[in-house]
Amino acid sequence: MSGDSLYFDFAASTPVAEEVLEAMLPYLRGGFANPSSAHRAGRRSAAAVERSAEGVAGLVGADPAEIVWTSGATESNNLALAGAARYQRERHGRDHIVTSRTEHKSVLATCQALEREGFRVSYLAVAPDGSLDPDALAAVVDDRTAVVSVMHVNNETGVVQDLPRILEPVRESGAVAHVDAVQAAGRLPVDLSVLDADLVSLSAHKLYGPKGAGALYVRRRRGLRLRPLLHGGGQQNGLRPGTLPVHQIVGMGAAFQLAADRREADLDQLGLLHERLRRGLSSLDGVVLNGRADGSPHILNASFVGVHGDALTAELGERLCVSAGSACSAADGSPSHVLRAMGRPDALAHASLRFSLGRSTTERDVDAAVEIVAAALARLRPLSPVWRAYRAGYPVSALYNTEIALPLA
Amino acid sequence: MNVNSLDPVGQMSPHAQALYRELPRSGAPDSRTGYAQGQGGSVRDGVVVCFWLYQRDGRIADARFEAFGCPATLAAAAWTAEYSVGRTPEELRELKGLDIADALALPASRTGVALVVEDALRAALNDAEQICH
Repeated sequence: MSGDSLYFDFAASTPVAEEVLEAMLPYLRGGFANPSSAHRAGRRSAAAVERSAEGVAGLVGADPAEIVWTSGATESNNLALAGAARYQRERHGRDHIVTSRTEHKSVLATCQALEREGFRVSYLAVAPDGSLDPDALAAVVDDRTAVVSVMHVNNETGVVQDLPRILEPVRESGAVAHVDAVQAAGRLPVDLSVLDADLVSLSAHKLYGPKGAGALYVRRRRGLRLRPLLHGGGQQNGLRPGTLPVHQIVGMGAAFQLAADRREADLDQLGLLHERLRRGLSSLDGVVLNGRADGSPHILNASFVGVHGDALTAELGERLCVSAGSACSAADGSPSHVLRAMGRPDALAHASLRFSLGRSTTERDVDAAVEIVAAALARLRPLSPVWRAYRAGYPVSALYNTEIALPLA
Repeated sequence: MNVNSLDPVGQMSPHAQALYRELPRSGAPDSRTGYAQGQGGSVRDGVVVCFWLYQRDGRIADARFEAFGCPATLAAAAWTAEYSVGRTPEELRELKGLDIADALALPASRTGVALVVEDALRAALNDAEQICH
């Protein structure tokens, strides 16, 4: 990353790993034949695609034949939800969808689109720490439920849902289980030979692969069918036609293979850095944590008491790249739907920062990031009436007019 | 996507940016004795402004502010504190939020914060009246 700016936004995107770039180049410089072509050059491309499927499947405990290539996780989420829901309604009259309020926008927006097609959607609330209650889900799933969609690791807070318990009632009900595993893959263990999910969304660029490449795992089992989003030349059994972008797929395969090799070492490193970051932030006082202690270590989401999000972001300026929950930078002016679902008052949600760590993050980076945030707070807090009230002893929840408990770092 | 809208400081006028960088007269006075105080806005609305005004011989001799808000809020509060010094309460009562917004060339979307600054100043002036009487 550029010399003067610290990158702490790996959950938004990651650099393409050197090994991944090396794997892709031959298919950009040459190796361009269409993998659907019957001739020798085409078969070579097809073989590269197959090897890549093995790389992706290997990371998640799947069969390579169950990997469908897409343009990215947004498409995978769309295909999974709309594809499964429409088939289920056509074939079995099921018209109900269950999901949570903290899902990625690509899931929520697809659900909203399906509502306009006549589906009923249950958007389940979560606890203040972001966790979804398996019993709450079990209570709404019934024999009209077509699809249940719950993400494994939340992209904003790092919260890990208890999928084995959450998915328990789904198989029995006959509904299709979809899991957005975009942030989980390559970090937490994802084993589809054990986890009973039917459809799983994966993304390359969140895991040191190229943008524009994703996959949807589709379990091979009777009765599981999707209506395709795209119509065309029959590639991928008609489920997702279009000439396969071999270089992109090779990149994703290489990235997932690399992640499988490094996963445990990466996870250990991330755990140490996460703890260092949390301790550093806690020394700043008035820092509310948004998430759970047992969340994925690559994400830490915190709200800063007494300062406005826009002013905070302005102070971080050029020096720190993080995702901010600030209002004025969002097109519609509303803060994070995830933090809102966790009960955070808007003013606090606006003043939140998501730090996400990656393979290249060092202890020095973490310490420097804390320094930058400390400097920002040191400039803004002394002139904030809200901070003054907090220092005088007002609890955060009282200052921000909320009843929920707000855990400090 | 308007890249400019992602930069709350960059979209302010040079004058407003300078005020935001310097933040003159920020922070409550060390001793509150003799200072009138007023507040506007709320945390829920995402903007809170406080003013402290010290009056002598019918004019404001010292003004200080505190603010919780976006960069435009801080700049507007700083501008208003500076503007207040040397003026009479009567002159200050004529200052409207839109005047503040104009003086700083605030974008239309930020006019609201200037209105809160006006509220806070008015509250401080009302408090000043109480003190004097």
